[in-house]
Amino acid sequence: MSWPKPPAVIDAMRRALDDAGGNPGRSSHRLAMRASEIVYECREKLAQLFHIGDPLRIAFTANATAALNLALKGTLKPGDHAVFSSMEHNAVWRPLARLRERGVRLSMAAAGADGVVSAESVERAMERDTRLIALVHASNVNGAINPVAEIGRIAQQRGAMLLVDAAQTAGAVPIDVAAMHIDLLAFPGHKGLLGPAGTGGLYVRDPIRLETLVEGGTGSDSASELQPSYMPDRYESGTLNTSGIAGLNAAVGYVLDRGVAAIESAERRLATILMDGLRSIPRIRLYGPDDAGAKTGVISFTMEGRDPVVLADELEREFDVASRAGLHCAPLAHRTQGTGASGAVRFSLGESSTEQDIHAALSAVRTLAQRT
Amino acid sequence: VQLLVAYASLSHAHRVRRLLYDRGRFVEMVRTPQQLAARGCGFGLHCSEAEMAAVRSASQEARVEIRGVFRVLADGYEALP
Repeated sequence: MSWPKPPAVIDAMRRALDDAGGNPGRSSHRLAMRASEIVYECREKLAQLFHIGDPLRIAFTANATAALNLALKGTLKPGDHAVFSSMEHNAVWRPLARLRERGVRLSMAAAGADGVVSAESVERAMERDTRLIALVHASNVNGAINPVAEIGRIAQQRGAMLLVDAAQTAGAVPIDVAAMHIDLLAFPGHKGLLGPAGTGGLYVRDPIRLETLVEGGTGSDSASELQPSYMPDRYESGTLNTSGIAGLNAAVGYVLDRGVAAIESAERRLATILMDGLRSIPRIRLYGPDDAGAKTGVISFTMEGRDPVVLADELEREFDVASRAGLHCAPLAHRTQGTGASGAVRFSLGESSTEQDIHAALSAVRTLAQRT
Repeated sequence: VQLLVAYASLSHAHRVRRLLYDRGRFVEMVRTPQQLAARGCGFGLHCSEAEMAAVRSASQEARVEIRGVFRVLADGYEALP
């Protein structure tokens, strides 16, 4: 759950609109320079969070989907081979399907019954000339966390690049791009990082290997018709979402202060209570790893005989319990876990979730399970 | 201020300024005058001659290109090798 945002996020966005209303890199007046300082500060904080040595290797994007499209379409050319997993979100699956139409060869690494994509499965799907492995760090459907460091080691040994979709893990699970051998890391600003919607970014280990998707004004080398070759300008054409990045800057500061490991630990404790509680309710089936330690705070379930969307509506209308039902923009992952036709209900814990919230959710599900 | 060190990108100037700040030096960031920005638009850092070695060192660490070093004169700029 990515709401509520820390009050500092809202304050920072308001202040940015008041005091940093210029366009970074285009002018040297106070409003523009303040905006540029905020944007740079945010790069530094993100670099600290993800253990990125050079903050300039982070390009801001509108969201994780834009970052994933840039990473995939900027890397893969006709004839290239790429591996993806059976747990990918449409943000990876659809761009890859488009690239397949252009001649990119694809192989799918199948996840296990628990939704985890093993390193062996990825290695089996690789070919001698595999250029890229695109892997979700944790499933948005059932929370299963993939062994990214192990897969990164294999990618490095085999000369392939590793793209990690950190939509579910940035800010919620520790990420170290160096230790995990990650070449490209796509992340949203508004989920575990607790920033506003419309923010996100892409870490690029080696910009020489990544073509641009969008070209335009960058406030640098403006006399040239050619897009700059250096980061971050290369991938940041057009006006940035400065107020959004100001909010993200405050949000990442909050996450760093609290500590990702502490957030992860708190979510796992609550996830354990929620999973145990759901298991005790008749007709409920849980998906994903049995152990809360192997997943994020995303809990996916179905109730026998009930449509998940109708169930989610009842949870909201009658009990004020928010959930998301359906295919979660990840039909591939749902097929993998056996809910491709029905979908599922998903509870998402967040850094502000409480034990009281969990008990309220369990009570609501129990009541609905007894009703029919 | 005696020198202007020009960079291609605002972000590059920010990065070098930050590395200098971490070493206890504060330098001002400015827009590079158009006449000095051969490729058009850029930002730079003002520093003293005594600070130039530290600026070069920080630029190397940041792996960013110095586009030019200019002495600031009363009536313009003088390019330095």
